[in-house]
Amino acid sequence: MRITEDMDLEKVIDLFPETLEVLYAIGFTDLETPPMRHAAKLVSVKEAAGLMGADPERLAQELNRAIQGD
Amino acid sequence: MVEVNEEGVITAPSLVDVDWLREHIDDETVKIIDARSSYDYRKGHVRNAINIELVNIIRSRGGLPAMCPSEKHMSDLLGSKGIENDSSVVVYDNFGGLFSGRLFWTLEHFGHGDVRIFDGSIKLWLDAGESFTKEVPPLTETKYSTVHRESNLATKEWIISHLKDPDVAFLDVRKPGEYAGKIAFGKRGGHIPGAVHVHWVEAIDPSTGRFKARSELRAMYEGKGLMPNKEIVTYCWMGMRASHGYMMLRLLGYPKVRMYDSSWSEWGDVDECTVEASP
Repeated sequence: MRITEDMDLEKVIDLFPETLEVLYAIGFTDLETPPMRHAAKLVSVKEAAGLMGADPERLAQELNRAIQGD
Repeated sequence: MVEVNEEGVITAPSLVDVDWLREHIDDETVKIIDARSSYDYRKGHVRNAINIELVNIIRSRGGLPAMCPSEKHMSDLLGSKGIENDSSVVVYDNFGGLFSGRLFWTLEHFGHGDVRIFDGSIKLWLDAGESFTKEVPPLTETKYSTVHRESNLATKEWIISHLKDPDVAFLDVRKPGEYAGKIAFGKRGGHIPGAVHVHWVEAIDPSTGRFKARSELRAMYEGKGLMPNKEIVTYCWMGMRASHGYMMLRLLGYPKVRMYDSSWSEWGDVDECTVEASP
């Protein structure tokens, strides 16, 4: 399974908690807490990148790299 | 000096940036509020920032988990945080203003006059070469007097009685699929009849993480028929994104904006509330 830009951020975190480090690096620093987990339900990977002014394509690539263990 | 209306609420709240925050970081008349979680705050925050997290400003009521707290709760909370009625408050978070927006609406609901919003995620502070501290500023308790303003709150009853009012417009800020009824959090999907849709993240420039320019935002909302002379009701699922939409309209100077606190978690479940769905 590959992470795509239109996947909900919450789904990505639930399926692949190893992606948290990548998300921390772009500025989401407390995604373990219930309010942030709720907030993650409200945005896709692409939209999450936009909240931080990050490149969505690159974010998706880095998330995929994290789940592949590269 | 900021302009305030007859209710003591600032006419057009303003955005602040890194430079403004740097200049006012030691200003005792300014209270910097970190609206992120206490967990995140403990890991590091802007110097002199006070933490008011989401769980401090919502209460479970009527089976709904994230409702506006009581007036006493808010006066006690703001007093315990050392905030005075005439403090200039500036709020930041790390989720595109989602948490700041809820605090912004709550503070305006309880009559705080001067609330400013940091433009973008507080990550921009670090990106600009500034630092965080773990030091918690000393707090001197105050006697905070809230003024409960019903005029920025919409209820189910208020909406039902204004559904056909030409001077009222409804703004749905949920995901496109929620608006269309294809995703349903609750018994029914769809939207409030006549509501227009602007997804809350559309207010943010994805290339910078900051809010879009005022002219762009204004064109976006007005293009949907949300004119400043109308009374606008924002709603979402549980009142978080709706508060963000409320904040954006207030930042643009819209004078009459209400946030439907119960939002779709109530409207979607109650049979007397009519629902419209897109094809």
